[in-house]
Amino acid sequence: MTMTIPGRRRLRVCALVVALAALAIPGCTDPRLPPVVPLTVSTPTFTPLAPLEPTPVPQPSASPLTEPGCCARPSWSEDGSQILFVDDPPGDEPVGVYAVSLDGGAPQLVSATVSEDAFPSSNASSDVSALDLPDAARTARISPKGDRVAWTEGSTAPVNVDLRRRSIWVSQTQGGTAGRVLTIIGGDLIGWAGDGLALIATGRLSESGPRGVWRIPLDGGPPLLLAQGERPRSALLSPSAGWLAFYLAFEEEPSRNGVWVVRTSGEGAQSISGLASFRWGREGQLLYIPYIADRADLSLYVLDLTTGITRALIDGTAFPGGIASNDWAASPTGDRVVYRSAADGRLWILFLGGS
Amino acid sequence: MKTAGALVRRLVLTAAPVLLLVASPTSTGASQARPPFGLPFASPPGPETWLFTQPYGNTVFAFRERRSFYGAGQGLHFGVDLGARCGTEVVAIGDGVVVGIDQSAHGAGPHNLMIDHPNGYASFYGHLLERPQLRLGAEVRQGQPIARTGDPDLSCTSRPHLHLEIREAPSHRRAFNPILLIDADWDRIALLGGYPVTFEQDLADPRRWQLLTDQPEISFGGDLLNDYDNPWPPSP
Repeated sequence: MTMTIPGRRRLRVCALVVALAALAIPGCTDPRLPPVVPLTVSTPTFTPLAPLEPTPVPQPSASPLTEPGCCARPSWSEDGSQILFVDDPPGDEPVGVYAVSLDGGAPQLVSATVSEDAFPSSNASSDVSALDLPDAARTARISPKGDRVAWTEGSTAPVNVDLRRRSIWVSQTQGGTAGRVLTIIGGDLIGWAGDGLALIATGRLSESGPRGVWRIPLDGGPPLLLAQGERPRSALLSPSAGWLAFYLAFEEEPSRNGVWVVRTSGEGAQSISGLASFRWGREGQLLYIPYIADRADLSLYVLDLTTGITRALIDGTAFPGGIASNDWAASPTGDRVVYRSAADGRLWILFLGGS
Repeated sequence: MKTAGALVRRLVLTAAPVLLLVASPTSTGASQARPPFGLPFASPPGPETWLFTQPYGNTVFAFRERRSFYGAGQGLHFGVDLGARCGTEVVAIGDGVVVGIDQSAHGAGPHNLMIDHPNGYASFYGHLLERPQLRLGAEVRQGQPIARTGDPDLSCTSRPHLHLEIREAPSHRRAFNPILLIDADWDRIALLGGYPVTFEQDLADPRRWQLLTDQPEISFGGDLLNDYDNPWPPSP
């Protein structure tokens, strides 16, 4: 089905909003949408990894980058040389996007205009801010080559998540007609697969079908169920979108709860025992902090998905002050972590070394 | 030119570590008082038990819904949301007396429960699965089972969770940040999951209200506290 996009407007999307969009809890049906095509569902193979056996590691160096209270939501510059954040420093400095180098020093104003343009956007080879998309468009994602854009339309009302329907649309970034791909029920568009041939989404594709994470080919082929789960949460694509990490909780089958990683090409899934906070470092390198109920300190591990080997990067005590609000980010090179200290609200950097 | 208010808030925020230590269960000073309440679940957090799904305060989601869901609470999320399967046992966070059952004026349906505590606070438990099997005036003890979790969408698969508030007793007209009043390591509990906890920023004072522990109390029916001219992130 194709149609010309009515009522265009400029839509600005940034990497920050990717995560925030998951907080919306919309839901209502759109009776105008056509039924979803019948599916062919493959059954993924789940291969739990071996239990963690932390090995002694050198303690990495940690140092504060900013003054107390500064600042929330740090992100890395594209080359990993700076930390970016929004601030309005004391004195006469203006509000804006600031950058601090990894050896500290006074943050420098990068842009006095706070916008998505000042932040690097993951999983997109170009920014969507220049694109004209429908007023109803949400969760816009640029393809790896930058030639196409996908987005969703549908209810954004914060009601029953199970009933929420969002249709997924794709068009060329240079304009033209948009095509509706299908409708997601109780889920959302996550982004493009790394090969640029398919979209990754969560939810159900039919009223009575299975729930989980889907690879949706754009050549008309059948959608592929990458991993089944009642509600995949915190879905994060790796930097080149070759992998997707997410977690499951409160599943009917408790053994399925925890963090999962799937190849977006559809070649199986892996789980990490228990639940953790996780971020992508380099492609295929998942950094995570497992939650251990009877331990107050925090450890950082890395799972190399190309080898399947997990090892400890930080064992125990290397996050001075603890992490505030789960606010941390791994550098593009995977060997540094910035986090916000729960004790003083500063940004701190950890040089992991040898990751 | 920065406003005097912004500078005062900056000073307060700079002093946040001191305030944080007062409330933190991990602090070690002998004179530091422990928060007076316990968690509303007997089990520790985890993917089989319960998860911290939305904090109190100026969350991005509350900002988006400041004129709808959270309009009565000055635009802030006036409790904490703790995700759990329907039917998970809820326990009293402190000793007290049951003063309200299924009071629709307090919201958080389909069922709710209010307990007044002798220290001047009240605890409010919302989105319960069924009417609590308690009578008005009943005394409860901290840790006593009092209710079971439900789902505001009545499906038990949509967004089942406990909405927990701590209010002023007996008026119930003000709400306080439960993070400061419940003895738990909330920042560590917030690490159970993928995404960061995100608070909306006011570009007129972007450092304000950006920590779990740094959130204002609210008065029900008061003006919006977060009706920002320049919010970040922008509304979709």
